[in-house]
Amino acid sequence: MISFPLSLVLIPYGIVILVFALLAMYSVHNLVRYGATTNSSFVATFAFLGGAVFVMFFTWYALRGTDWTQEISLGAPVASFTAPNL
Amino acid sequence: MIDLDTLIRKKPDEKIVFQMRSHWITFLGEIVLVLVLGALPVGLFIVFQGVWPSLLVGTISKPILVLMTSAYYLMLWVFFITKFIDYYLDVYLVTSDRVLDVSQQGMFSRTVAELDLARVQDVTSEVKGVLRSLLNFGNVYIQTAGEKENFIFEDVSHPDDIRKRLLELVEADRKRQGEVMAGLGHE
Repeated sequence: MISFPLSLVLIPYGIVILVFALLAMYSVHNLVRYGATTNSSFVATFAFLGGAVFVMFFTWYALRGTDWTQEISLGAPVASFTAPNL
Repeated sequence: MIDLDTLIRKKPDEKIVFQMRSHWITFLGEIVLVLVLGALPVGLFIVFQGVWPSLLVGTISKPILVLMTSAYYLMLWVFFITKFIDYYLDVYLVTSDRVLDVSQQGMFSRTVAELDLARVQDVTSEVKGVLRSLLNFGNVYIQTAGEKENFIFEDVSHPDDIRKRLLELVEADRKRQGEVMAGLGHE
């Protein structure tokens, strides 16, 4: 039986955030460099950053109060398993 | 307007006469795709609420699902901005001296092709199909004197007007070059 704390799932999420941040920075750089003086370029940049902040905020809001020290046990019988109502 | 200096070595008296990109309707497919992909987790949430509600409130399953959904939306958002950049930074520029085709392919690839107005031989505009006729957009083909492939402005608005303006610019450029040559001949 393998068990690990729930906080460990934050590692792959952190990698996704890192990849997102790198791609986002490059995208904004492209927009600013090549579409510099256009209103649409500014609107797109702010909409993109605003959308990203919204997703992050919603994630934080949905996860507030989560106990990250809980243990996830793989291979152990699940005591409180509720089967889907198919 | 796009800053010309970031793309080419501008001549002293050269200025952008007009710039254009493909009609916004050509970007609609990407918007619809992103909307459908964005609605997918919402659909799954509704399905799970009906058949397996405990999964959505479990102390372990809920944070994992939230993180997965968050990662999905962030990646979808990057996909969308990449598609937008691909569309938005694909620009055709016409300066007083040349025609530029700035093409963005994905996030990391960019090509800039240029054609001297003096080399333009023939310009053809084409509006084909119901949607293109209704919204007045289509292709403009620029034929050159050389063997190099011709320039195409794809799906631009008002292609007939663009053809006319382009031909006027070619004419003006030829006249200007003729005057320069005549001036050199007198010296």
